[in-house]
Amino acid sequence: MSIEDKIINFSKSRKEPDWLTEIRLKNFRKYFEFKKSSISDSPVEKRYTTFEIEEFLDNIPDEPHSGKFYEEKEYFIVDFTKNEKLNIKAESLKYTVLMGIREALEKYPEIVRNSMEDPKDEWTALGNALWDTGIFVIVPENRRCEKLMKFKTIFPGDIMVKKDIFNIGNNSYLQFVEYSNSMEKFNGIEETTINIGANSNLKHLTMIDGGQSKMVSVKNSHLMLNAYDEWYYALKNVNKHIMLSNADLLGDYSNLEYKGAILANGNEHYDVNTNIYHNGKNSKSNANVRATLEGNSRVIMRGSIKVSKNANNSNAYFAGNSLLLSENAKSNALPFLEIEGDRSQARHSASVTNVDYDQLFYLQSRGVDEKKAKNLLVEGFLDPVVRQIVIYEGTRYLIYD
Amino acid sequence: MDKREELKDIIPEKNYNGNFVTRARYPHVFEEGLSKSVVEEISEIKKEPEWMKRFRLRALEIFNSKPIPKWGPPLDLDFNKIRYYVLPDEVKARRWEDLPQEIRETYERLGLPEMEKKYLSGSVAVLDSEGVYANIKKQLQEKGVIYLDTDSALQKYPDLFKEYFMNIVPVGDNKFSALNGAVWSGGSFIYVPENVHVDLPLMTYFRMNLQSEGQFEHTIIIAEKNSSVSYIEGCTAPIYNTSSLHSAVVEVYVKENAKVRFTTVQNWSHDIYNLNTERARVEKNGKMEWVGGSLGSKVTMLYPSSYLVGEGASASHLTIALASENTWKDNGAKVLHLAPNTSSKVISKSISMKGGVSVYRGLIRIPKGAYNAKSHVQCDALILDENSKNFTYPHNEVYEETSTLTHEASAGKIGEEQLFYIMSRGLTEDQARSMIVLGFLDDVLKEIPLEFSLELNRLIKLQLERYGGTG
Repeated sequence: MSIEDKIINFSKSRKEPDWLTEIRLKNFRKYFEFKKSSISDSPVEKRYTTFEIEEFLDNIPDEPHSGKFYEEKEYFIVDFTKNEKLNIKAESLKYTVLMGIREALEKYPEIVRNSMEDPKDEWTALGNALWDTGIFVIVPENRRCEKLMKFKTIFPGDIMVKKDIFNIGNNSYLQFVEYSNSMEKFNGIEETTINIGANSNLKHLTMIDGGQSKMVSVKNSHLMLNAYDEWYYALKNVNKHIMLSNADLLGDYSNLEYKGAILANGNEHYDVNTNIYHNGKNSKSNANVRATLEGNSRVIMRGSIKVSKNANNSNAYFAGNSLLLSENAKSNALPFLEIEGDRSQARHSASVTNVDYDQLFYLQSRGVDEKKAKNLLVEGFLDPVVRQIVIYEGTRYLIYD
Repeated sequence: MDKREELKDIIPEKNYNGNFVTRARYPHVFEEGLSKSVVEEISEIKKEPEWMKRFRLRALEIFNSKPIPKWGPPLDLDFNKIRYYVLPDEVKARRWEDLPQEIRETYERLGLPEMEKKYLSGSVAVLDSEGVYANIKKQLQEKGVIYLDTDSALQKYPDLFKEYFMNIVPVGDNKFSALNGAVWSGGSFIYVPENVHVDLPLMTYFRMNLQSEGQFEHTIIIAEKNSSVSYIEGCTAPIYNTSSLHSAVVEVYVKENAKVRFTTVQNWSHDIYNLNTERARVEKNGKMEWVGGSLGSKVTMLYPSSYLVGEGASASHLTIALASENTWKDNGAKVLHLAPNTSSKVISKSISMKGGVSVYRGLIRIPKGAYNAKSHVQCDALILDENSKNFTYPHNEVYEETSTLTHEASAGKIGEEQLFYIMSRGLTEDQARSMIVLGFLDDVLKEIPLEFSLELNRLIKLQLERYGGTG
């Protein structure tokens, strides 16, 4: 059976409409196109992170994923380890729409379809080709955030592909927090599409505790006129994580701020990629990723800023900083810039450093013992990117030691 | 008189336009195309030893087996539309007077003889495929410094040559190094013995004269313990409509405590593919400096690399790239820190204008065991109009805890505020623009020997003038 037949079977067994099967196949072909080389490739880059697509496709389950959705205190919990028919329905929400993506396929087929039309990279294409489950949120126009939504997702111990869509209307505001916990053998792709309407704001936090699983996380944001996207994320405990965030600043005066923290340990491998496309005039972006590396861990930090010819007066900044805490840690930084035209400013910086021994000595001379002093320095290093997470969630998520 | 003023008289303005053709004799001009017989014939004309002939044939096999790189700029190059060997005249002169008149006139127009007299320790002139002139100051010759074109070095110092030829750049390194191994001809060979300091620079001038020509020079520089040398390359060619290929290999060996500075001022015409492999091996406490000014050519792919193999070795890479109409400048640097306490600095400044594309593509690798290695990379780009592009693709790999790597880059336009400030002081917009551009390049320009920074300065102003601003 060819790979394409597998996808047709996959789609048939879930009783999907024909257009969806077709668009899945189209996305899948695009996945292989993206794998081919482009001008930004260099011979050294190819071997950084590998993904066993064959093995992944062979183990995709025939049945749709089951799970349980329930509300507990302020949390919306989606537990994919429970063997029940997944039915996402939140009673505490008044005008924000929350449902499963399969349900949305019937009620809002256009939005689902639009989100699959034009993948920008190989992982989005693969996610589009294979998604099985996910959540769907619509915030109507002119609504302030009705409450801080907190999602807790528990991933199962096998292969799963998830697609979430957040659609925020014009002049609205949404805040949400997303926790992901996963079982040990989880191997999956989660793709999130976020559309932010004109004059709307979004603030969200993502925290992933991987349970030594393998994951591909993709986030695609589209920002309209004067939209603002504020995102904070922290990753830890994932065995192999490909994390990709594409932000398309389509509207004039759109603005984004991404702050990421990676706490790598053991044999973990992170490949974090931030792609920012400036298309609107006066658009602004500011992204900073900071990683601390212990054990044999490895972090590949990519960032790419692409400024199109029309993006007059746009301003972009990307910074990637790594702190090496053990002798076997490895860090790669690949911050790319692709600038067309003479109307914009773009900058990036990257650094890979170790703990400053002068600072350590200073702290120790003030009576702080070595381990504590080191922790303080690590905390200080991560502070700019994790401050928001600490404000929302306390230090519960981040344990510095 | 101020030194700058003095130099202005020596280097007349017309030097900066290399667009004229030398009417030389040309006893050997090969037909276009590459085959086994072409390689054998080159070896025969040069009366080379048997091992070199075998080496060339093996390199040709490697060349044929390697694919054209899929990454980087578009290379629509037909290897069968290139002349692989062009011999202008069978002459190896040691004095300018001994050169045939036409060739001498060429170099006089380019200003090389005056420059040699004033501020060079020696010079080599390479016309098309062969070195036609080589000279070095007597006192340096007595100290044992060797400065020759590479073919003569093979004949005169075969053992020394064999030891260093295609050593740090192996023949199978990439498609173009293999091509160079197969058809190499010309280039310069420098050997500086222990404790000898060559105080004035050595200069080689490369000139391509015919159309659809290939120039494949091979340059080898060996600096023994505690020695120092500065080497300068200049390149020009007249303008034709067909593509020519310049594919050089440069190998630099920096021994303990030695210091080598390698400067290239490249102003090829806009029909030349410039695909070079340049590499240096730096031993304990050695110092390697690459300085490059890349102004001409159609496509340039040039990533000078430094392998820091000895403790305390250091490398610095300074480049200026100017991409104008129909040019693609793929410049970069590669530094491998293979020993403790090594340090490197990369500064790249690129300017894109009139639809040109400039690219920085670099690699810094600090493997495990390179304790306290330090590296700093800075790439700045200035884009002067809306059709031009700049791409930056740095690769930084760190596997050592105690090392430090920092990287920063910026790309953008000329600041409105800067422009306004200078104009408010009474200068015109054009003057202000060219002032800002030259200021942007200053970090690198000040590292280049005065007479060449002056030349570069003028070349850049000339380019800007064509673009609309005046210098």
